[in-house]
Amino acid sequence: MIEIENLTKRYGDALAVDDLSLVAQPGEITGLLGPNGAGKSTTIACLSGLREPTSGRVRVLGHDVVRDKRAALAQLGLAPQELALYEDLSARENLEYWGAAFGLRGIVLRNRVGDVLEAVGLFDRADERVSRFSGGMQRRLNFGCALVHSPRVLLLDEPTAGVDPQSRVKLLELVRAQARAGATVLYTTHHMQEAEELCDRLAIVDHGKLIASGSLRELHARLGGRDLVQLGGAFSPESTRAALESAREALGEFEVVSLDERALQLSLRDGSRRLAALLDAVRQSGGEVRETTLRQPSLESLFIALTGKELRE
Amino acid sequence: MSSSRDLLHAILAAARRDWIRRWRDPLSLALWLGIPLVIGGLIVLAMGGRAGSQPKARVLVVLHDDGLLGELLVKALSSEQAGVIEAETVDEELGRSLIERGEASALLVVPQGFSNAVWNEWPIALELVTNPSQRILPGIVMESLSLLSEAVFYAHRVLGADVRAVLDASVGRDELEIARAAVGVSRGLERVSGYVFPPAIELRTQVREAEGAAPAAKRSPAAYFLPAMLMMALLFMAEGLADDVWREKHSGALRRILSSPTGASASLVGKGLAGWALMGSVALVVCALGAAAFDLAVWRALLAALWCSCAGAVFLALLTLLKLFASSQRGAGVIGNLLLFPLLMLGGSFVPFVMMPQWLVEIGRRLPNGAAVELLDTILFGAPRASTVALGFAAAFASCALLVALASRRFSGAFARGES
Repeated sequence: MIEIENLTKRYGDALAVDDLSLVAQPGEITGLLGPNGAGKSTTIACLSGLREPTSGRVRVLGHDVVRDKRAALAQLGLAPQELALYEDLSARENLEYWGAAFGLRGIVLRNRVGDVLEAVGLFDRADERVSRFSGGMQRRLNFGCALVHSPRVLLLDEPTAGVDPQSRVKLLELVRAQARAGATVLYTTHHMQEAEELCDRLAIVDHGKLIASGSLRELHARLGGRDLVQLGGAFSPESTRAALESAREALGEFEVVSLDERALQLSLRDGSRRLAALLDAVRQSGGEVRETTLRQPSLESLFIALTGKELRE
Repeated sequence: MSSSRDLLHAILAAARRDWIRRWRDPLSLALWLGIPLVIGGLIVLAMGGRAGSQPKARVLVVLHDDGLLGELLVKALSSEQAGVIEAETVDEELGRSLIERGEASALLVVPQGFSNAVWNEWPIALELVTNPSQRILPGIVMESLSLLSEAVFYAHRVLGADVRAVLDASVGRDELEIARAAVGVSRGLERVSGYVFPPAIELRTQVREAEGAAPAAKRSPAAYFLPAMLMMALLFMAEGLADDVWREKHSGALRRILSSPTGASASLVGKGLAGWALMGSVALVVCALGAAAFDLAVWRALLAALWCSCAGAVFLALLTLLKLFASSQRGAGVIGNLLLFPLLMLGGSFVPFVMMPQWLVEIGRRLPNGAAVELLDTILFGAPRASTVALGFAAAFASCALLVALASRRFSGAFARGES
């Protein structure tokens, strides 16, 4: 179990994580979702003992990462975004080293290395140097190195970055298997689809703040089944807002997510049926529509609804 | 499980990791060792190499002349001062077949009547056949003959008349004329002796054996360069090995190391241990070769290798610590080079101390590698005292412990967090 209570991390004047609270349960995959610079990696760094929080508490299986670091880290497996591998060693030697660094030895270490090689599909190439592996194989081994000491908590920082689709599927299956075996998995990503596919619970962060959390069903419910309509063109914000209010009867229940001179985003029910009324209202306000996008309820539309911007921005 | 056992286990695992990695990179090892060996080898060759191993010119002399000067010519060519030339008298047939087969540097044919012609200043020609497959040695032979002919010219100016008188006397004059001519030769030699023969001063020296002084046997230039080149190789190795902290940082391995319960210190100490063992192995091979080449005792080679590994570990810890303060890997490289080259030049690790001016030696001895090379030289070629050697090892251990402690703090702190 991972417990993060009111975690704040500052770098000088910059606030990287702002009062973040989160709980990740055993047997579940908790996704930490957000754009680059949202504070995901800093949160992982505080959890893995690399950085100390400015304030707040971080506990792994009940052990405070700052006060009881050794006990907390002994149960932790980390797969950093960069490949934490020694390229001039073989896959087996890498696993042996990381296992030994986490306290395994002798026959236990050898057996565990064999099991992990089998699990990540590298048993046949165990004695080859990592420098000769493809990117996908290296990612799988990187993940395997995080597993070798059978940790009860896994921190996976964008483990599928730059991986081919086949290796990605294999990796996601490995992550699911760990959760099924009872591990607590915290998985950071900025891929909405991957998060929806894999995670049992999600925490969406932006600018270091938690902006939404819950199961996928709970988060979808927050959109109230509304579609997201995005219009691009030239708008006069005040007259557009007034025109939308005048057309409230035709548009039904809606919410303006963002509005400026070049773009309008709003969430509304039955977006496809009400699109004509929306375009009429915008035209009457003197606006000009050049581009229209309609999104079904999804994590991405939720993120846009919550932050007014797309995740990749 | 006790935490100290876990720590020791993690240190040994890290040492094994780096030991394997180093041997998987033979090119780097070859470069670290090869550069000093090539530099040292070239300098030693330029200085004449090991004593007694210089090449000699074999000159075959066919002597048809039965006079005194023919014999003198052979002796003058292979005189002790010439050194490089070994002259031997052969018959003409054998001489020509040997030079044809390339088994000599030159063949000199002295014709009949050579002595008589020289004393009477009649024209006479010597025949010199050189070996075309050799360039330098036949050149030396030609140069020597040219010098000898000049010497004969001056001898003529001083003694020619008297010698001719002696020669004439020997074919029919009375004893008084022979004696007069001999006195003339003697006086002539007396006149020029002040110019030709410098005053002979015999200097008797008594060398008191001091610590560090070489034993009575004469040391060749190569023997002076052995400790210097070995120390240069160790410095190159330490500089290369110290870069690894930056490679670990960029790869993400450092992040995972920091998330291990034993932390970064175990990894860093293991890294140092692997470096120590690697430098010790290399030093052992070099010292064993040195012992074979210079007839050194086995204990000297073993103690020297042990000392090299300890000194190398200090260099590694020092360079690692400095590189941990760089703001980038490139900056770390610049810091390494900025430190390395002055240390090499001043600390007797490029040019041996015996070939450096005294004021520079005084500075060099105070540098870490200067102190290390001095003790290494004493262990290999001098008379080391147990107390001095023990003090050297103690100083190395203490320095290493302090530097590793500082480096470990930096490695797991600001360096890992990217605050360098």
